[in-house]
Amino acid sequence: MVCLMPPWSAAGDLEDVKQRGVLRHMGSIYAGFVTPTGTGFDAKLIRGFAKSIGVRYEIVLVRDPAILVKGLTGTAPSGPEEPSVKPPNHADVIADVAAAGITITEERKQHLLFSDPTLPTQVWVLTKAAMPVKPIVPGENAREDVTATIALLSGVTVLGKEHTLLDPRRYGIDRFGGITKLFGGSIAELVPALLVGEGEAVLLDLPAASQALERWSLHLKVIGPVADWQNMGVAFARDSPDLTHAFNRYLETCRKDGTILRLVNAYFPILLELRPDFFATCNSCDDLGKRARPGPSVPPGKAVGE
Amino acid sequence: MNESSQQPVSSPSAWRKNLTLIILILLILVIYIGALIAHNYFSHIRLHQEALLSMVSATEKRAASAAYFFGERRNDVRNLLSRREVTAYFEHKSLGMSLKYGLQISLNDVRGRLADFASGTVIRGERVYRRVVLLDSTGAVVGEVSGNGARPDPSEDLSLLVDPLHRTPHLIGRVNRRGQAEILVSAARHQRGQYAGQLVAWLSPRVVTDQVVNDVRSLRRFTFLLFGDSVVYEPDGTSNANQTRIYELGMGPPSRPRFFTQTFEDGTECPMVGLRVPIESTNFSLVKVVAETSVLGQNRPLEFPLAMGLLAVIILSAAGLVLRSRLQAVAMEARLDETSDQRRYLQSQNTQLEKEISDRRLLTTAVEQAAEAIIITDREGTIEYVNPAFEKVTGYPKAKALGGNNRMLQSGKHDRAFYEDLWDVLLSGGVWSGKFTNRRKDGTLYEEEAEISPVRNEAGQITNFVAVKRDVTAQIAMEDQLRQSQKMEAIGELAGGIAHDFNNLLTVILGNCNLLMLSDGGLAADAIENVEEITKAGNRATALTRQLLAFSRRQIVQLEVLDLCEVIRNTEKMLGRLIRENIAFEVNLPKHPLLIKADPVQVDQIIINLAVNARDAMPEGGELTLTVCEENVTPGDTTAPLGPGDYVVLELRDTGHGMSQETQARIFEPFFTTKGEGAGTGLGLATVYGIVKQNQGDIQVQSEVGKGTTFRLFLPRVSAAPATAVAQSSDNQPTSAVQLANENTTILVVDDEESILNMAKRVLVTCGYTVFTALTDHDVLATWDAHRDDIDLLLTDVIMPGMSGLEIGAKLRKDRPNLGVLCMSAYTDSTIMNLGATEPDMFFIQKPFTPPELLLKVQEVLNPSPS
Repeated sequence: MVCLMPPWSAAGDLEDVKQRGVLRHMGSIYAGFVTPTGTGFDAKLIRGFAKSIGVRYEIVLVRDPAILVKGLTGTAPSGPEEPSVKPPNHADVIADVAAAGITITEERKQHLLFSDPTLPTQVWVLTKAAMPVKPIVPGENAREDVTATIALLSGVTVLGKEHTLLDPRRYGIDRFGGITKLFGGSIAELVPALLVGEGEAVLLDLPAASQALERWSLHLKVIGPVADWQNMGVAFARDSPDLTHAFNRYLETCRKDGTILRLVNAYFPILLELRPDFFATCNSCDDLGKRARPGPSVPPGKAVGE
Repeated sequence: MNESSQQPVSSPSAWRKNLTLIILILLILVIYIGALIAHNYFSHIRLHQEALLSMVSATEKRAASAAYFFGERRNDVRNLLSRREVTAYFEHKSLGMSLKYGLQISLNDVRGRLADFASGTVIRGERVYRRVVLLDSTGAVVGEVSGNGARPDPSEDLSLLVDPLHRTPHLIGRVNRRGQAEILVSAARHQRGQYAGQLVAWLSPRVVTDQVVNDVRSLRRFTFLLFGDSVVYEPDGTSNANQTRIYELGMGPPSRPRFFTQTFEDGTECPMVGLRVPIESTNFSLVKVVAETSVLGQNRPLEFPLAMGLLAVIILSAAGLVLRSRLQAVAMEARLDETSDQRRYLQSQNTQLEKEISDRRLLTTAVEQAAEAIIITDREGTIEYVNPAFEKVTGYPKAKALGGNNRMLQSGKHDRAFYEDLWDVLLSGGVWSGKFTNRRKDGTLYEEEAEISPVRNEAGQITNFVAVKRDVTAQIAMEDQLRQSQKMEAIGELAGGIAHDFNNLLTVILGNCNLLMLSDGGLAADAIENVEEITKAGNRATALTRQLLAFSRRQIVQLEVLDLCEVIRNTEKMLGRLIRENIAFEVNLPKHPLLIKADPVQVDQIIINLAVNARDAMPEGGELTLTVCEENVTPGDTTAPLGPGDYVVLELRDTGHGMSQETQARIFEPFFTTKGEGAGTGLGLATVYGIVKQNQGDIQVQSEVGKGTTFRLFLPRVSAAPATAVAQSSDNQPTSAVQLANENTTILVVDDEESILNMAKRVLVTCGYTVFTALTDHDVLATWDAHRDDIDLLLTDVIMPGMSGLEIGAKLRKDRPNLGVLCMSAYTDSTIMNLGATEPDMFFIQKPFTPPELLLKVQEVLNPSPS
């Protein structure tokens, strides 16, 4: 069920959610995390969680990533770097959980609780295929690659999104001659904006980049990473520890019963190629009890288990 | 010849007339059959050509279908190479993207596309490709998808498949490292004008089989693909490049059927038809091989015509044979008719011959079984044939008789003139009939009647003589015996008649002598002596008369069942006194009784007479043996004088002087004697003869002069027990004490002999009886009518002229049933002897009788005793 909820109720912990009988999921339509139809990796994961705790699932779609903290906690950080702490306005709390490709960062942890990591991610720089910038040759480690990538962006207009990990300013691109440009639209519109010339390069999370390459394969190319590997997770209000724990238990269950691999295969199979170590503890849905065998044999682009 | 041989012989000629027509019909038939055969042959050829064309057409269609199939596969690969994912991959790669940053994503897309291609390209549910491989320009595998059952060889060097020159998809038929034939669709990928990689797809053998070969596979029908001119693509994907014939097919011109013989594993061979049709735009050929019979049928073009021709030849030959056979049959029929006539003639001859044989066999059998002896001799009298009867009569066996001369039978009883007459008759061609007295082999003589006839050959010459002889010895003996018997019978009749007359005379003589002696006046001493002499002579005459009666078997006998042995034992002492002491007398008797039925007095008389005769035959002494035995005479026994039966034989054998044949022939005649004057009456043996004959017996005499005589008396043996010996009473002896009769008693005396009548009247009147006499039956009836109530007794002779005495008595008794009747007769025949049995209360007295005997009998009749 997709609805735009008014901020009339505060986020609650597990008991509140159960008492209320509904789990509100706040998310943005982004890559394969949350789709316009209300599905996607994160949408399905939260839906399963709601079911596991015996409540109804509702999704609250938001366009502005900045509302992430405010929507959960009722208060919003004052600035992008160090948001100030203000008294929460419970009327602003629109969801119990937030999940839409949210990268776990230290600053976000100051306002929110995060579940255990759900997906690995890396921020890549993509340009149009015709862009004369030649992709980097992978080096010994990610740092070298990040340096090489940023070095290539000198003089290149890099398009990004404020209040997200796709903000170019977070990676010092401008310090190495690059030109940062914040996109006013939704995060899902970054690649089209690149393709229409609003920028020469764009930052995308790896899951989003993989989908962009599938969709605009002949028009894009990957230059390289601008950050090391990070993790994505599900955000909770800080006063929802029980709910967070409940989710982590559920997430562990999903790792064991193959749900995670099934969802990754469905939406971001490239992650299994690039970070098999991340999914090493996950069991395959059709091979419970065994270690996951992520690899290229799993056809991409297929909805596994749906 | 008979009529069957005259049957018309027109059938052969008719057949000859029709022969031309028949031959013409046969020629037309030959031409017609030839035309049919030619037509059939060319039809067969045309059908074969059409069948082959049909096979070529069908195979070409299938090759066209295969070309289309392979074209589609080339399109598949072409389309796959043009897919976005493949393009993106090669584009990203050309842009320098690394697998770590982005290219892997494209690679995954390519792999997904390859998988979709492999799984999504299906025909009728079957994957068309069992393996799809995307190579980079170096031959390294970019992506690979294997279908079901496909097991890629990891050591396979796929770089060999790199072929930058073929820009368009093309088909590769090859044999892989496993020896399997496989079909690959390969296409090069160029990116930005540079060779970027190679896409290779392996076709599924099953799909190729279904879509390209698409044929029922058997030993005698299979279709396969040929790569180039040598590699055979088997339906299961294997190759079979070892079939020489297939090489030949591959090297042969396309679309032209080739015929060859296929040898199978089991050694059988099969004519096959092979056809190779190239598949357009490929280096492949579609080869179809089928058994020749499947295409051209079981029969080859020449087979049916040859069969038809052979059949026609057979039919024509059969027709010819039938025709020939028919002609032969007609000839044979004519010959058969002739043969049939001959057969009938032979049958009649055979029948006649069989009849002759039968007749001859019958004749031979008759001759062989004839009772008459039959002898066939040559002209010199040499015996050439004798029948079994000859052997039986003469005693000469056939083997000895044959070759001998009939003179061996001569007895010497016939003089030379007898035989000369016989030969004169025979040699002159006449038939001699007469009697022979011949001699048997054992020396005995026999009599035979013979009829000897000459036997002539076809020239009328006498070659043999056949004699038919009949042994008449027994017949002559019987005739002699019959004559003797008849003579004895006549003598007996004579003696009996004489004895009857003598009895009457003696009755008168002895009666009157008795009356003289009883006369009241008495007789002088001289007269009394004379009367006594007369009485003695009369008594001797009475004895002679009785002997004559005995000889003539008219003596009254009292038959009893006697044990002959017992009778002899009783008379043995008396016989001892009869014979002299110089005669040894021996009696041989069996211990068991031998019974006969006879008068014991007569038996004594026989024994005494024979013993006396024997004694008289041995005046110088000798031996007399009396033997009694039993003898059973069987049918055909000619040695016994009587017919078959059981007999008791009384045999007296003496060693006296014996008798000649002449004497033997007369010994039983009365008054015949060889004794001296006064030594015998000549009635002894005659009496014996009469008694034996009277007792249904017979006498056999064997005597030889100087050696003695044997009498064998055959008496019928009986089985009844002998009667108890009754002492003979002497009551029947006349007594001299005659009581006088009552004066009131009247007796009617009837006799045709007046002397008897008078004598009887005088005796009875003397004794006080009133006597009426009658000479005839008329006198009797007249006297009876006059004195019916006075007469108490009728004394009548039995044999009288007119009514007999018995008839008179019966007639009178009708008036007076209590009338006493006393018959008298000089006869002793059976009628008189049975008088008492037939006429009760009639009494009998035998003449001659004395006056006392008559008186006693009269008193007996008038005063019968209660018993």
